[in-house]
Amino acid sequence: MTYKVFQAKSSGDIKVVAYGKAHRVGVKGTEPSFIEHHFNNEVSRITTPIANHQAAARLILKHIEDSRIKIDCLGHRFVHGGSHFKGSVLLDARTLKKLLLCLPLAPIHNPIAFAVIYESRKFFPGLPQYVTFDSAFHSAIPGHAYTYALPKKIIKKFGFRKYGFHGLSYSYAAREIPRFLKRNPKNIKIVACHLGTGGSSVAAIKNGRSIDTSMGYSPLSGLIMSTRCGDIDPMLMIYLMNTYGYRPDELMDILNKKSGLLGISGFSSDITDIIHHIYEKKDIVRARLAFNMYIHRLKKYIGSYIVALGGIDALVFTDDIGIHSWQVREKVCENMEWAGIVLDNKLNRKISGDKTSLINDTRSKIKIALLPAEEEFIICLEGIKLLRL
Amino acid sequence: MILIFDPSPLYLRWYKIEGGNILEGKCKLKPGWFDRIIRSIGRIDEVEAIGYVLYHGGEMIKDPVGIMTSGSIKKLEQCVKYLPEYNDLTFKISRYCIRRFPGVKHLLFCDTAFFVNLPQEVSTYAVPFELRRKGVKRYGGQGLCHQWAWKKVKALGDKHIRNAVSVYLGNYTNMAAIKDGRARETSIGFTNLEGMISSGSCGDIDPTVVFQLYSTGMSFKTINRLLSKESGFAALLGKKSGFSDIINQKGAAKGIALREIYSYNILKYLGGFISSLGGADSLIFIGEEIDHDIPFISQICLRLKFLGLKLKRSRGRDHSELTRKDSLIKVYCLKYDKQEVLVDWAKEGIK
Repeated sequence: MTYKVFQAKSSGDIKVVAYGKAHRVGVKGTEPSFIEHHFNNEVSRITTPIANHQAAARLILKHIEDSRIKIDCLGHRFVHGGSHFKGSVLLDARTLKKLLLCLPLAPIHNPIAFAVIYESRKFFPGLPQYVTFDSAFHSAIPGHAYTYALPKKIIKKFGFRKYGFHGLSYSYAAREIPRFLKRNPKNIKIVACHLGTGGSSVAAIKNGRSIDTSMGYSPLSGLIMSTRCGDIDPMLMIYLMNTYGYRPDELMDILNKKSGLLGISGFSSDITDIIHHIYEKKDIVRARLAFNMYIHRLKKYIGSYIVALGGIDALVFTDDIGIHSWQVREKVCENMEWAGIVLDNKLNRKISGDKTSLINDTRSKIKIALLPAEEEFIICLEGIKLLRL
Repeated sequence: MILIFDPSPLYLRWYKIEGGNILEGKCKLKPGWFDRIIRSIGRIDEVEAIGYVLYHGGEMIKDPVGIMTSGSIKKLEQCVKYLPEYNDLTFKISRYCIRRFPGVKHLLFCDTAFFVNLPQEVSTYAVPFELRRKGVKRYGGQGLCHQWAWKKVKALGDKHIRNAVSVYLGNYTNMAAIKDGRARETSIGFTNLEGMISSGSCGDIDPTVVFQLYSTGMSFKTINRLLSKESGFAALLGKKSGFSDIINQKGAAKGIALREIYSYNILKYLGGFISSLGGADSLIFIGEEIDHDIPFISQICLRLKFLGLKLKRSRGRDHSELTRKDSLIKVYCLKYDKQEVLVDWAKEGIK
């Protein structure tokens, strides 16, 4: 769990005052859990048992209070707001009730976020707090892209549709990339790849709004991820349950936690590790298959969204894998001249990824950009908007 | 004379091809079925070859058309499990005919063979080996049609065709990407539920949907029927409907412009496959009533203008090629006639 404290004079003048991360929350193992705080150019590391995210929140808030940092307002991240939330909201009794309705939509992420919100309200009663949603940015996706071709009464009963996630990250890309390229944000087409160590997705962004994204009703569909399978034939589930007697929860567990890169390679869920194996010629067949599948799926989505947008201005790579793996970017951009995409291979290999930068060749019609993810920054901006600071 | 059997879950269709004429009929597999067919056909002693359509050859059948012997019957029997509703019939008919007519050539047409050698990264699902070794992989489908289309365009005189996307338009719209004559992609997955929206099935959806449905106590059978029979165009339009209802739909039906959902579905697949090919030089559209589909196809193609696809200003009567000479992507339209396609394959098989 991460946190950042911002000092904002206006939406154009925002500084990070303190930040930190709670490591190994709720993980049982030989290594201890700890929290790392950065404040006033000092780093403190507190090793302590952290049973769950709620406990982590309490420790972090206590530390902020003890450091005498005055907080005016607290923003939270909530993964899946379903059709209940189309944008960020201030927390009150009514919104809390609605948040409860969202818990089953993302059974891993949402209850954790809710527990953190509960703890924060207990810790700072009376402090204005608000919640932002990873699904909200995608609420602009038009009907022809979010509709599943299922019977209407089923759609209505379950709320089946494409929701999409990583919205805070895409929202940041939609704001930052036009600025960086000195382009009008109301007239730019972007395909952004949020490639994380856990979940990954792609989004098509037109004039600042999402028009499509690879994750769907849940974060399971779309790209091949570290342990999630991404798109599969839905009949597979019926076939496996019916023919081989898999229980539904068992199969969901396999598709969410044992598939993806881990399922293909059989040894690692980490693309960096898999690339390393290819170089070291260890388990090379499985490693290469995992890498090729990861790239292939990503390339297909990028192609789909380029066509959906009728051509693009920028291809953006963000989050850990996106900014740190030159191998992934190099392979993804290979043979993409058809779309006007040409990578500067040399530059791509040596770029650090610490700040927003361009890595396209001068011949490339399309700008290729690296963008370090700043999801907390977007949460801060949302707060400024909500509180009209 | 060539006799071809084409199975379906409800009945067996047969075609008799003699000279340029095709006689067509169907029957149920009840005792005496073959003699009834013979009565409709007339003389059987001139049969040169008998062909059988196999819709799913799994990993066993690797040729789109091949000569069958009594030995290959065993192989065919092992394929029944892939698509029992169809394959069982193919198996039984061919076993019967091979025994009864040992002197004629027996041909097996396999609809998945074209995709047997898909690149591994395309055919594999990102699931653990434990599941993959149960035969979980992308098999594709309608290979006989897509491979035929490729050959046809080549025969039309386009020697430069290298990277093509072939689109079959119909109640079961599906696509294939072809590189130098070999299959590179298919929109059909483990089954034809995956892929594009069709008249009764949902196409691509989040797999979590299946889990959610199941958790309300629905049976596999109900979920299966829901996703493969009660979804798709039927669900969106609220009544049983086919491909032509969708592309001729005007305005929005109950808030959702179905035509837009459908063309967007096609465009996304086109983009994905073009990307996988590293760029395409040809698009091939195939349809049973392709002349009626031209306005729809043209609208799709207009959205690929940014890739240098240039439509002819006036098409005249010739619909086979829609693009100008200087278009970077050529667009071909082929009329699909299943019997004609099978006859072409039979000729190749006999050779």
